[in-house]
Amino acid sequence: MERKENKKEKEIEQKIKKILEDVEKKTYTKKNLEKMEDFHKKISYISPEDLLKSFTI
Amino acid sequence: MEVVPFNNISSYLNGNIGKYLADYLAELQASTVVIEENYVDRNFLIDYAKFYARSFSAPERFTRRLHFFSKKFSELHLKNALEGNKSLKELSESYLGFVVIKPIKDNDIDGSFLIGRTALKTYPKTDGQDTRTFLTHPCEASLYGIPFKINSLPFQTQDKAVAACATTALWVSLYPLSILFQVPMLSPSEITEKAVTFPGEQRNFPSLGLNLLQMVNFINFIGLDTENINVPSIDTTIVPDAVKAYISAKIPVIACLRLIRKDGLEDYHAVVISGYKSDINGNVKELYIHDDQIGPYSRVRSQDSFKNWINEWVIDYNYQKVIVKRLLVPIYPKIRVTFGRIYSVYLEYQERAFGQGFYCKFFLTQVNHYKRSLLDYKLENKIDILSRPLPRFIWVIRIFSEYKPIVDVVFDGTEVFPKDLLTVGFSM
Repeated sequence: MERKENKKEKEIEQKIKKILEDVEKKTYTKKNLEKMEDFHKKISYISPEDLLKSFTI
Repeated sequence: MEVVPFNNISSYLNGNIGKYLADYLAELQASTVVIEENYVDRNFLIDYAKFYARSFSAPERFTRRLHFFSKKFSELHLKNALEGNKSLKELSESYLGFVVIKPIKDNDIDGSFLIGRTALKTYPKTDGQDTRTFLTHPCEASLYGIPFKINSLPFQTQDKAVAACATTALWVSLYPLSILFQVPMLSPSEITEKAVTFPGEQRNFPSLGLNLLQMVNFINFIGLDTENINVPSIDTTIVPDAVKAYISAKIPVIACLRLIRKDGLEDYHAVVISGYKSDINGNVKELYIHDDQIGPYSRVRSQDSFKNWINEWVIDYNYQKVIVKRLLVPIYPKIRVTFGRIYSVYLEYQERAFGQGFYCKFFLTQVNHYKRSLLDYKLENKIDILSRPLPRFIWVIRIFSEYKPIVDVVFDGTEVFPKDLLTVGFSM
């Protein structure tokens, strides 16, 4: 039983390690930083019409 | 002093919002109401001085405050308690909060008296296996010298003389912000006054509403910055993700709504998201909002990750759709990593975590709260992690397996771009 638990923990550890390594490798590449900037601009975009719409309800 | 059974509440709370409050209090199992006459409400007094005092037909300066209790008691019981012959502890334990009623009628809607500062207990923290999380802070009230304390987020309806929905949403937001970032507490008229130093197309007073730039102008005035999240721009669970992330740091999220009428015309509305209900996997099932035209902790449901809302506007008020246009989050300027940048990193983690059978959440927090929360866990290198200096604001991406946290990736919230500072491994 304990051995089975240990095996499961090892598997989880390996998977987590892979996730962290993958993201680490990908996040800070030049291409991905550019993508991040596009995403940031898209997510914070306000159209000129929206800027002046009054919340009147 | 007047003590009345809760059954008689309709004599005091009427109109749509009064009825909502009565129904809400019934769910909290209110039994008794104490009516406090001639209550001086600071917020109303400032609005009175700034606006009503110069009207030819000025209303009263005093308000009426209703205090609600889950315990049944009589006026004699309360008098005995004040004389020292009965315990005050029972009353304190059964206190559910208060509602201030202003001496002004809402002639625009249903002619009922306007609801002033209101602080009521939240719904219970659990609902079966689901968990409710609310944005609250300690609210105190003194009734004839008896101190009462509850955790709540104040609410009031809009008073079109000095404030429409946007001002009221900013007023609600000031309560948690004043505790977190020591910003000044201002009345609705003071908020409108500061906001309209950026011009809009409407009259300043009586207030017909603020535009987005005026809202941001006010947030700048109190020394904070604004995170603006364009909801339709991205096809993810961005609304619940942002709500969970900021409410975790006790930061209010203002939702800017586009309301579409049945005839196709549009109205714009602003409310504060004051809480959410989530299941065991962290999926948000319900939002709670402070809507100045509905009431506090009003339930919102959705079939599309809360981009379109199902609530009273659709069910009772004859609107066809409630669309979330954007979220405005007033933040401390030192929280420099923008939501867009950290969210893009979170989505990278989320995609990979899902692929491996895990799930993820991310949240903003302060270092002292984060370290305090870690004290309850078994960690790898716990002493090293707890004794390591970290910035005041941090973003945390947490990966779970079978409801248990496995790893935290901690990011410096004060950097311009996301920068991971450390990885915290939870012992399994």
